[in-house]
Amino acid sequence: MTGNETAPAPRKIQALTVSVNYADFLECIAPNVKHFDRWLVVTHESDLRTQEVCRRWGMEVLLSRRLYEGGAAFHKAAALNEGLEVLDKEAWVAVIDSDILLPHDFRERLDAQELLPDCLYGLGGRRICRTLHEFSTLAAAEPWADNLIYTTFVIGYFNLFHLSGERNRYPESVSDDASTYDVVFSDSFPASQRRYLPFVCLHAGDASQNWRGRVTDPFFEDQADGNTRLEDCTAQAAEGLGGSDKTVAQIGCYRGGFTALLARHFRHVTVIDHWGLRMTSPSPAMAVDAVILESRYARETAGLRNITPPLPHSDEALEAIPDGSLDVIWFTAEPEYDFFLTSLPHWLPKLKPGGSIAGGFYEPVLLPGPSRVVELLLGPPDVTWPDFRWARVVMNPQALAEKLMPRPPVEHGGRGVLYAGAGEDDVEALLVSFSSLRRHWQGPVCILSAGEESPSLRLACIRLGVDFRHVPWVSEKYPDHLNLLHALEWSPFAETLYIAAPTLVRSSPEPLFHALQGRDAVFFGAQGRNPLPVETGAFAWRRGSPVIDMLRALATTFLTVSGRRCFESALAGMAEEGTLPVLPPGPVWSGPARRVPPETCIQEMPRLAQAGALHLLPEWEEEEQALIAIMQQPF
Amino acid sequence: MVEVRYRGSFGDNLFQYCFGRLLAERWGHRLSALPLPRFPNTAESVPGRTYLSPLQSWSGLAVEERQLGMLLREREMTTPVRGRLVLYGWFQRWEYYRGHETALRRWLATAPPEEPAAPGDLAFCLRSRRPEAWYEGGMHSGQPPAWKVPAPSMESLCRLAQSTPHDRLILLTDSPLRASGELGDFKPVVKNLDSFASWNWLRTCRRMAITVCHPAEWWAAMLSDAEEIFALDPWPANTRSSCAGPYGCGWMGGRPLGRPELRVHEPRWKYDW
Repeated sequence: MTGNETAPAPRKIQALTVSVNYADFLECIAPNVKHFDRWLVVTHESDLRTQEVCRRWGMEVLLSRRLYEGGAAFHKAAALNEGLEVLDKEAWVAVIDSDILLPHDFRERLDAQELLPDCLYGLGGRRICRTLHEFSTLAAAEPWADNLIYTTFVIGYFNLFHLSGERNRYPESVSDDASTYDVVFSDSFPASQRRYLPFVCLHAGDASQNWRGRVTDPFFEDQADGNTRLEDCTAQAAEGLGGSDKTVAQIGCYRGGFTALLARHFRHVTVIDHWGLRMTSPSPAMAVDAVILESRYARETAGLRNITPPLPHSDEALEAIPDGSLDVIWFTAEPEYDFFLTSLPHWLPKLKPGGSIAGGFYEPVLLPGPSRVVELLLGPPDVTWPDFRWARVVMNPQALAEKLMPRPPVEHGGRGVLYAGAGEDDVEALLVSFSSLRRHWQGPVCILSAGEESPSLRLACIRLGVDFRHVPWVSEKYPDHLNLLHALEWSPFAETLYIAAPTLVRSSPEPLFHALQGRDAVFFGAQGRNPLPVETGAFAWRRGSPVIDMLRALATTFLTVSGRRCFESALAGMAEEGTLPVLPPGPVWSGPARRVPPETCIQEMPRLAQAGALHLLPEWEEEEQALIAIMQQPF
Repeated sequence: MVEVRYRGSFGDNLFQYCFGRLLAERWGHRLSALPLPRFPNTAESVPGRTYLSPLQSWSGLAVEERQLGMLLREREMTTPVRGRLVLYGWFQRWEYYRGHETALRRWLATAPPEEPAAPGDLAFCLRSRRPEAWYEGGMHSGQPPAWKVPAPSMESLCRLAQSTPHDRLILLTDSPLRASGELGDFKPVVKNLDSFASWNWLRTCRRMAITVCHPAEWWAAMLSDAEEIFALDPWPANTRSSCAGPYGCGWMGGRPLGRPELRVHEPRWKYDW
């Protein structure tokens, strides 16, 4: 079906929800009531608060007699079936959990979809909102496009099906709580009859917590808190940043009202289609939905002469905007690290010196995630509003753009030092080590972030002017050492000196490169109480070294017998067989700090320091303070 | 813009890079991918149109395709995604790469091994670890089928070694003791090499036995000039899903629907041996 065809006849949509001791959540999602012809809430007679919420919002109440039948913990399937018994059999039913908020225009969009009576429909994804403030902020900021959780099959938080269908009752024998019944129900539909609607929802509070009845803390303490609405300061913000001679780029258009507001306060608004309002939809259901969203936006912005149509967020659209021409760049989406990191270098040159980047979702305590993204990439906002909107003045946008613009990866032909971090825990030690290296080595350095990219490491590398690469973590089933060994393969250097994160560089590492003469890899003998025959704080190799290849192959082979110690076993085995080039001890030291030999180039951190107590060693503290001074400089 | 985010190991990364580059070049989009170590041509710039959003992420998993409402099939991928496409997945289907061998060979050109295979070498690849893609959470609510024995089986390899003329039997394996023990009568030369070295040597071999599920070995075989590739496809062939409809129900006779599908239909690939 396409959006041009005749709209289907109106359908009756009933909602069914089980809510016991969930009145706080139910209160949050009660605005769903407008989507349904009737909403039946199944609860327990003892839950007076839920009954009160239902009364206020006009929901019907059914007191369950079977929820705890036979000593059940929380027999949700039985309670749902009690509800299904009393609903209209010739209509659709949307079974929704009592913590699911649907889009404000859910019904209009659902009515446009073709629904087949023998199918089970789920939602495309959900956004988990762990706090009330996150929930409230997002509830007022559709679309919910970021940080969604997808499921691999239609699960119970939202089920839409026709009650006249063959499968219209939940299986009761598979569990006596809120688990499993939905999976079994979903599986009872052939795959071709399990479908996803092209909408997403908000989930109030953590998911997967209260399987056997409510155990989590209240989402909010009392009704007043729950009804707290953020003051909408958008107009105030637009007025403060705008002016009759000012221009703005709005990155992300969904509701026309926001564009119209900007149009009132700015001379010209360049609108960018961040959410794909005009994107070709990959499926018929999405195409139908896109027609609704796009036509609504067109309707709500009709007659505005100082706005562009939604432009694709492409290099061509950006090229058409002269550099230094915008007073404000307004991001309407939730600040998200990857998107901001990618977009800012392209947009900043368009900003006038002293222009502003503006957005929403900034409140460091209540919304720590997006707030951190803003602070990491732009610094703390210069002005904030009570609805979490913010603006940051950028005095030199071009310079900031140049810093943030990713450099194309360069294959260095020569020698260089390589670090590898495997998560946020490594970052501090790694940067301190790098800081100490820079005192003795001005040659190329590359820092690898293996596995999940570490934003703080990338941004630190940008500040420090170091090549940063995000490389894969081969397997979650591998121990960290083995994954790191694989990560080293991504070194861009012909001759690489690897320095472990928790090390202090005390003198020039040149001697370690010199040791490669006549060899393709070099390790150094162990000292002190090191149980391994070699030190692992630093070692060097030439690209394509058979020694490192063999080490990697052996460590992988030993995985089945040595488990987490496979890397150590491979090292020991090769050292024993004499296939590992090991030079006398000296340049790399892992013994007591007070006995460091004078010839030591690389000193491994004592265990305490690795645990974060860097200040225990004066040299470390000095390096750390030097690094902090660099990191505190403005971007 | 097509953006490749690698995951898994060497062989998986070859799929990811090549899939991304094929799409980028087909669509005239810019490719953003870290060059693969040891493959200098993967450092080539692939310029083209750049989109900063909307974000679309493909994992190459059937389940995700269900949510997108499309299958990542060759014909569906002719229309460019007018957005920022992030590839973070496996993309292990022969249909994506078939017909592009010339380009693939150029991208993946690398220095030949110091000691390439001799004309009379017969290589057996024995792997005890299951491919990383098999562990993919979210592929299905259930568990993937167990790989109970190293594939191919020793019995079938013994038969093959007896029936296939060769001067030297080479075993590429991560279980050297077991493999050399059971095939001892054939006096095999055991090579326990890392993934790249193993791949680089294998692609010079004229006869080999591999499992199609091992990503690096599949690539070596596919790009090689081998005359005979004795391939084991551990997924049962020609079984039908018990679930109706184009997407099946997740698993079909032990084969994950949608991914991977690496059975190559060429005369040199022999499955019945």
